[in-house]
Amino acid sequence: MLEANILSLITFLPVVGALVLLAIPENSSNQGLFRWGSFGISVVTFLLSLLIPFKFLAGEGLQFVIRLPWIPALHSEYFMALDGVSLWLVLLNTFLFPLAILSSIGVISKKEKMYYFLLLLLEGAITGVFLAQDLLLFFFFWEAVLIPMYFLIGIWGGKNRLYATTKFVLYTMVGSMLMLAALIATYLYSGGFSAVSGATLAIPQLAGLPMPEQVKLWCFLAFFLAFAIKVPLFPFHTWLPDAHTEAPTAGSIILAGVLLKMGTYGFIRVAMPLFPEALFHQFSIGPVSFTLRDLVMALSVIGIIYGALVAAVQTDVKRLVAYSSIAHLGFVMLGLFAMTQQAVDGAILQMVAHGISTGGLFMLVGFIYERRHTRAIVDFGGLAAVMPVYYNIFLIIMLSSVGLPALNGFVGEFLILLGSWKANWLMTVLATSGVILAAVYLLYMFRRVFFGEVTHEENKGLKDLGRLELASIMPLVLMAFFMGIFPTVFLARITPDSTPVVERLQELESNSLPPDSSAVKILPGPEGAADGALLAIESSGGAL
Amino acid sequence: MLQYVWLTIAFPLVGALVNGLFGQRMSKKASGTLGSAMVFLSFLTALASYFSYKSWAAGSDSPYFELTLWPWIHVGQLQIDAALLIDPLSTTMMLLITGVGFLIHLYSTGYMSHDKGYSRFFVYLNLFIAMMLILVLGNNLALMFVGWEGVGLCSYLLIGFWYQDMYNAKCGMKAFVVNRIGDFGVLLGAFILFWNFNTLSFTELFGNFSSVMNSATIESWVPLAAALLLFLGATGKSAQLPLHIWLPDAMAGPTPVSALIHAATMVTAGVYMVCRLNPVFTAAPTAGFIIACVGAATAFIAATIALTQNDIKKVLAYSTVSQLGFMFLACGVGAYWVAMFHVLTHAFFKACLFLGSGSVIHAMHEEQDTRVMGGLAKYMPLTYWTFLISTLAIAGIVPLSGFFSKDEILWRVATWQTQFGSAPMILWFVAIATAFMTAFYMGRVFFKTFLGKPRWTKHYVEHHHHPHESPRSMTFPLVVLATLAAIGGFMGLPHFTHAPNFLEPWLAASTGGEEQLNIVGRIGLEEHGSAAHDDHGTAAHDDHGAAAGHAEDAAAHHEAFVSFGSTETTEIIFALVSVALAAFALLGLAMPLYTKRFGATEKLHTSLGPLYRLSLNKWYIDELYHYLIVIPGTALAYGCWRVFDMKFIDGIVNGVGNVLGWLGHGVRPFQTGFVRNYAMYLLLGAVVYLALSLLK
Repeated sequence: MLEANILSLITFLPVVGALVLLAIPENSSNQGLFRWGSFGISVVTFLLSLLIPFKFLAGEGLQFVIRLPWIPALHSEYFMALDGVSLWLVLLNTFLFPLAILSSIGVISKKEKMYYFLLLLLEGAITGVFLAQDLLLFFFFWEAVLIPMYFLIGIWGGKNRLYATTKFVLYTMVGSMLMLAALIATYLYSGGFSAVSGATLAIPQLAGLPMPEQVKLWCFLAFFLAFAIKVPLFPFHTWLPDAHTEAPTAGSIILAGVLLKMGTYGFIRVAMPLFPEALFHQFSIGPVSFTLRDLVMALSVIGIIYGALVAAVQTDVKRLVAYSSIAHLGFVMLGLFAMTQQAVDGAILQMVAHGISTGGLFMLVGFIYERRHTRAIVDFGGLAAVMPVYYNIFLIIMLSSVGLPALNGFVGEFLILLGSWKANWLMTVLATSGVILAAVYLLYMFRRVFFGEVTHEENKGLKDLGRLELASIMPLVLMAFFMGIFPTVFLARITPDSTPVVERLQELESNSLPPDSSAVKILPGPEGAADGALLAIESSGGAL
Repeated sequence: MLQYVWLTIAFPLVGALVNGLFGQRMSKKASGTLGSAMVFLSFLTALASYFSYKSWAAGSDSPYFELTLWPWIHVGQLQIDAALLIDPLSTTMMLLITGVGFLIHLYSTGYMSHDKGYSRFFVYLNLFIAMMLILVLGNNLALMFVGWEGVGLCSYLLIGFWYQDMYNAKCGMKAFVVNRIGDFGVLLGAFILFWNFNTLSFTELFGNFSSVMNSATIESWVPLAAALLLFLGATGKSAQLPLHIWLPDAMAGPTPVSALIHAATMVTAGVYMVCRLNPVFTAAPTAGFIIACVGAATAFIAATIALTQNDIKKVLAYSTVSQLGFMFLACGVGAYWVAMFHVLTHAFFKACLFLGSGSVIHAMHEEQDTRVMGGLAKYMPLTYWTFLISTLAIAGIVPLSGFFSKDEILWRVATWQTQFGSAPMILWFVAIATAFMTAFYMGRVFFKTFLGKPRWTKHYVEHHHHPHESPRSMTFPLVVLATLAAIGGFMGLPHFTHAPNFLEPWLAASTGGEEQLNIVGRIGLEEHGSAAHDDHGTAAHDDHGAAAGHAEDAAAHHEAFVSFGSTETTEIIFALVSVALAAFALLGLAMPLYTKRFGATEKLHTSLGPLYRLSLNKWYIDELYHYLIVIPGTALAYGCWRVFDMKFIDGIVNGVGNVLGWLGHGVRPFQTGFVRNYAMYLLLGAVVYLALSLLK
């Protein structure tokens, strides 16, 4: 009973909880109820979701399926399920929310009821995105995420919050509109509006749908824009630094931790399985000809280097972390479009790892912001001596973001780069330089915040982390180690379900190559073949 | 017992954890004892592993004992386990790390006794030992990389240990970032190896290396590119040109750190990696040539810089860079066991020198400038004697350890069989010149510190008492290390002595025996492609014989500086020349200059003007990097942010928004709310429509 409905439970428990909170009148005696009530709901949700990996069967594809009619006229279903690709993202989401809520307690003082209400709504909507297997349902949750986030930034954000939140919503809406158009086109080609049976919006069934190549290309591009903005892929990224800088801490944690992954997840769940042919569409500018996939890989690599460079010269810690996200998500995109098993699995793992490390970084920045109400690097210095516990935790989370082996950031990055080498060695070389740059921008910031003398009088009396703060950050620290040391726990469940996508793409890739070049790739070079023949003749001659 | 070898890693890790979590609440004595005891236990485990490995190897065909702990990263054909590899090479390193590591922990309990961050120091030091052991024991490149980065982290934390001084923190960051440039190479090298040999595990790589290489599916650039990229990693970790710049600045850390990490162990990780992956390097002779040249150039340049430095630790730091250059020179000419021999002897004498300098700095109340030292021999006899022994050892005075290892390197260079013409001769001359300078600058620092008239008297009379000998916790490690520095060379006696050489046959299992000859043979086969087919028609049948034959053939074609079969007399003459040069530099030049005639040095400085300044300013390499990389990089980053992000992209985004806004404003007057206006629009529209349709 529980197992059959677990996906609905973890999606709607936070929503129902939110509605219950809404019914309670807001006055000072109920404050504790809002705080701890919402925390309790998110904890219960997490505990429920924790059952999933234990019941999950690796390699069995979509599981825990719930499939009910939703809008029969549109053949749209309430189709919820998860496989190895989405499993850890769902868990990441349910894991991060209690921590984000915990880190808000005592920090948010304005309109608390509304705040926790919106956070819980957000949790449900994001879980829905990762679970929906129906295109319209996916779109529904996708849009639903936008609303609470808009208010979270717009009401509880910093000085420039209105500009930031408007930019965030408008950017995303542009993508959403195109996605909706592509969704309708796909539906029509599956037989919607006509009496033909088989019309569907179910994502698994839409894969391999026969469509004219040109339509597939346009559909892919529409989805591409929606997802690329969300990731964000260079050059669609400028909403992110503003949104992050202005968002309240919990908003940033969720934004970087899970919201961005909706974009990368969209690629692997929707865009790539539905319109894989589009990736190999040839473009040419003058003498240069390239595929769409090459273009995306190039943008990812630019994002890695560009994000890192810009991060290095930031003066605001939060903005720095935001730019670092652009670089990290560049790695994920590179891995997805490299289309080798290692790279794709690395990308999926990296989505989760980035949620832990960057979510952690935003939380830590929030801690210090609450003490000093500034995030400018120059306002700090020498904190290592004043707040040793904070310093050590910051160090670990920072190193996990740098990609230090044995912490979570390394495994994904390593797999992505290793896998990409086979797809495109030049891009991999450029992307690997991001490993150097990551050390530059993070350590440079770290040095100026934590080392040296304490130069500001206000910083001398700063209190080290309190119990509540420790409780919200420690799970992330432990996860950083666990993911770095035992990544097989995750990978073993990801690989079987990413393999079909990878294989399909690789098959298309080898078909899309001109026949002569593929021959060269498979057979040993003509010279080698001749040599081999010669040796064979010689040895047989000797035997005779 | 070998199954429990992971305990060597676990002990220091537990030490770090306990001290890290509870160190603040423990007494200094408890912290220090815990830290040292854990490393001592680790050393005992290493010793036990050594003996059980020996008995295991006696009954085994393979020299490699593998221990898989748990699956680490498994995706498709990529199967990386947390697995350890025990063989002579890793066992040697394990003993070195835990042995010297324990002595330095012990020393630190005295040296750091007045420091506020006492337990934090032992956390980092224990963590370092654990990471260094992972580095040398890991059975695949990825796990080696865990240790590789782990020791880099510890180095970063320990260089910047006294972080209140921003200079130290900057030095730490410089070390980490420069090392990351090397790591970039290691990662790419690993990718090349993986996609060509389908594995990252050392034992699997060695197992099918020659068969894959001989199957001709591997293009010739593969081993070369892999070797050079991996070597880039080695230049980072082992401070070779052009990435040597971090090591001298790493002296900002406490002196025991300089001894353990930046002299005896971590910086030799690059040498270890080259030796560990020696089949790859042997398969790429051009890479060997480049490594030998980089090693020799580094040795030479670092030695010229060491000549003029006044900070006692800076001299030792540049000396370390220079000695590491010697080790790479040995690697480059294919003498891997000799490189390891020098790793060992260098660890003994250089750790002793650094700890000795620490003892001096301790006695002089944090003074590091040799210009205000002098005459310390009387006040700290143990430090004096141990420093003397180590100075003689590094200078290459017979029969101390440095003589044997350095002389073996010089001899291997002179007799190197290579296709690169006069390379052996040039490299040998560079090396012997470097050895000469080494003896001189070590003499300089020794005499300036311990002999001559005290130059600190005035200062001391005003502020302190006399300099004093260090406590026993500090002098005991000095004595042990000096003893090892004195007798360590007997592990690898040269051939002309006809005495048993312990090290060479022991390490041969890891660093090359017959297996490599096969690969070398194949390279020769490629180079003399057509000739090979004519001369040895039976190549396909008797692979082994043909390959060996070809190695000889190839040798005959190349002009070696000293031909391989030359007499022992030549070897003895070479050894005598180097000892004579060292003795002259030490006693004939450095002693008179730096004990009595200090005025003469001033004259030297002015007469050698530009050269002196070049050396004193470290060849201006830091400045070069600053102007070539740091400044343009920063400008580019600002350009990306201020111009591209804020002006260009946001310009478009806000522009679109503004245009839409204007459009909205533009059409607003039409929406007046008066029905009569709307009726007029309707009428106008109808008229226009009618007009258009009529005109058509």
